[in-house]
Amino acid sequence: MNKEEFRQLIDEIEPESNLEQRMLEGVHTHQKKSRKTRNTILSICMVLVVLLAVPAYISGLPVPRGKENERTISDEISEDDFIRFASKKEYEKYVKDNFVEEEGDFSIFSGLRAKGNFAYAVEEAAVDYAAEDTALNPSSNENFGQTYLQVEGVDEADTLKNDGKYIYYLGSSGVRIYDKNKKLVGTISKDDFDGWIADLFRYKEQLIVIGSDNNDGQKTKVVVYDLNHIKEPKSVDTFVQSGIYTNSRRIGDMLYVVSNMNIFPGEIYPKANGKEMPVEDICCVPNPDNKSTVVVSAINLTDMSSKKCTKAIVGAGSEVYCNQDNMYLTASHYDYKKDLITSTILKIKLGKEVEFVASAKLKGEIHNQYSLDEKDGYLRVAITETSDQGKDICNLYVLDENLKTVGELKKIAVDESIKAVRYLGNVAYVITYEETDPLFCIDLKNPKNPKILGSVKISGFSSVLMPIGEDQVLGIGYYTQNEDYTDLEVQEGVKLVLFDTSDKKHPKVLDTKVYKDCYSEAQYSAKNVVLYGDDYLIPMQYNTDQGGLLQIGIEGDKLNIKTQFATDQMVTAMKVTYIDNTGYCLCDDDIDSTTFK
Amino acid sequence: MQGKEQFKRIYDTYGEMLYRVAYLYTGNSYDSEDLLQEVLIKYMTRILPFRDDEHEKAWLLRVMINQSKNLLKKSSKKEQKLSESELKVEDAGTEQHLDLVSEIGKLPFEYKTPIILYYYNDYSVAEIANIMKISPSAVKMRLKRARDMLKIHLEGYEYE
Repeated sequence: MNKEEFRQLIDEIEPESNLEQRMLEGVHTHQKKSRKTRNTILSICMVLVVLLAVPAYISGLPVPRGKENERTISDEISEDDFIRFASKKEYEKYVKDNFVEEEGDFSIFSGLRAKGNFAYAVEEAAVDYAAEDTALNPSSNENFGQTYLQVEGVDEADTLKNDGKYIYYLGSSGVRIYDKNKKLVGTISKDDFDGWIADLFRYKEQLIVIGSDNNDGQKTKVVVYDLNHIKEPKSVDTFVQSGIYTNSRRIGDMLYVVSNMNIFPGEIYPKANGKEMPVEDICCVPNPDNKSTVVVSAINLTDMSSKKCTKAIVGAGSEVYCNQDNMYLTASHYDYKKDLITSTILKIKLGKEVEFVASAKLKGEIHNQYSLDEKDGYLRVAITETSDQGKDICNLYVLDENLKTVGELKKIAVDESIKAVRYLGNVAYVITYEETDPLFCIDLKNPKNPKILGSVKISGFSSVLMPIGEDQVLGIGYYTQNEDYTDLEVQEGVKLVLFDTSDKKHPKVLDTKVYKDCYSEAQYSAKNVVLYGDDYLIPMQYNTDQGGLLQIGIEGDKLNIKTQFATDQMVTAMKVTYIDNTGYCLCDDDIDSTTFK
Repeated sequence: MQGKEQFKRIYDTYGEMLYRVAYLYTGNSYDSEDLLQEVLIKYMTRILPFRDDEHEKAWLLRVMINQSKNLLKKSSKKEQKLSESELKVEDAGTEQHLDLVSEIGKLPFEYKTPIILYYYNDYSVAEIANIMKISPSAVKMRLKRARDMLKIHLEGYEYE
């Protein structure tokens, strides 16, 4: 079916008669109501709070600030231990008793809606480039672009990997392997996957390709290719687990793969390599919000024939924060009855095997993996909560190793939602956005008592934060001209901001650069930022409809754009990387390059 | 009433299109009318001017998407039943039309939006990325995956 046929069919949807008249009356009623209500605000503010609890036709009204309707439930919803099952019978009974009567939940929707983004849920990533583990780097001088990591030593999957000799890029036709001279030297066709390819890892002599296999339900497929024959890399091992691919990490030899599967009546056992998982390996978070089951596997890449450990837990997870020891999965859920959004955090201990150790539930929604950080056994979580009036409130919690809340900082900002977070030791940098758009510096030295040290207001917002040493932070984000009253404004360009955070009580903006009507993939994910020495490379789409890259240097308290490269052959650049002093832009099946000065 | 002319213009230009978009999200006329009402109210109470017609249209769609999302979030439990049962009862179009509407109804929210904007509203990938505030690659990926999920074959385009 083409677009024209599609439109014609949709145009068959006929509104009922008199729709225009009824809509006009609705607007008219609203205008009368809101005039009346505005008068009421002036006299008795409390009445308005009650009115707003029935937001049928007055949702467009301005909401008075500073009056929070406090919830009565505890912020940390108390959790019991995981539910484990002694026999298949017990598990089947549990599933039947708890889930089967709610038929609506047995659908493709329940798992997906948890957060929506699977493959690209990895949204962001970051770390100290110098500290990657050396096994990754076969070249001695390491003069090539690598995936920006959140935690050193914890490799993250990406759509581009570079080993200094070849660039492996996930284009629209599959994996394309280029040499330094942009020559296509090898390919891996996406036809090898009966679905899509999502992510790549490059490790030792191997390229690990992760994707989905849609034959007979949703499955996640991991294929290891031997790169000794670069022209036609040979697949040496394949591993398949149930569920839609969510995310993955590599720590040394171990690859950890996470997927989400929906349990249906008659299909309640996740599978690993075609075999139903034993019931001992399945458990359930207490009071699961979601019937989606997280499947996590540990795969030893140096010994693929060894037993893989796969475990499953009911209660979805979409965002992954992972350090050398633990992986944390988060999933948000809207409870219809309580009218409350909660996030479940699941802690998984990593090693040769994986083990579910604790879970917690917090009010609100976790923005992405950068909202979490573990230090000295404490997990710090920045979270956006939505109040009864639909206002956003930013909070930060400190949880102990059992995920019990030990400290909290409430209402860092009201009417703002979290757009970016970075932790650097005992300081958290939080960017919020809606009305005043500040950067906050938060002191986490005392886990029981996190406190705001200072803040600076900026227009627009940064969506990716890159700490530069102790005293500066680079923000990559959005330029917005249109200060609309809702979150509906169209962002209108790329904005780079250099913050001075040497005085945490008084952070300040040192320099900004704006590219109007341009956009960059780096606005969406730190994974699209590449560190080049002390500089930063980001892909760009310029307002001339050309793709390209920017080389951003920091000189003292100034941003210095060292290279602004636009290619003629591509309308946008999805990824950038470099080998030696050549920068590469890639998009679909195109590649172009420029030489840095 | 204030702005009657303005209302008429916006309804004549976009009213039915927005209603159909709402219908694709909710699968029933009751919720679709509610959503359209909310969008029109938001439009009529908006103070800031639009840059041009395109900005206005994109804004209306964006508000419709947000409202639909809020509604679906709130009625996540009901929604399954609505989209399954009511679609078939209420809608009296051709069989092919019914198939398409119910297939789209089954898509997860994140996958519905790009399909609607791309095939029904004829937006480009870059425009959809701007409206949805996600990356163009994410739009492409969602379009592709949504097409894979639909039982009805939708043509992909080389230069999305």
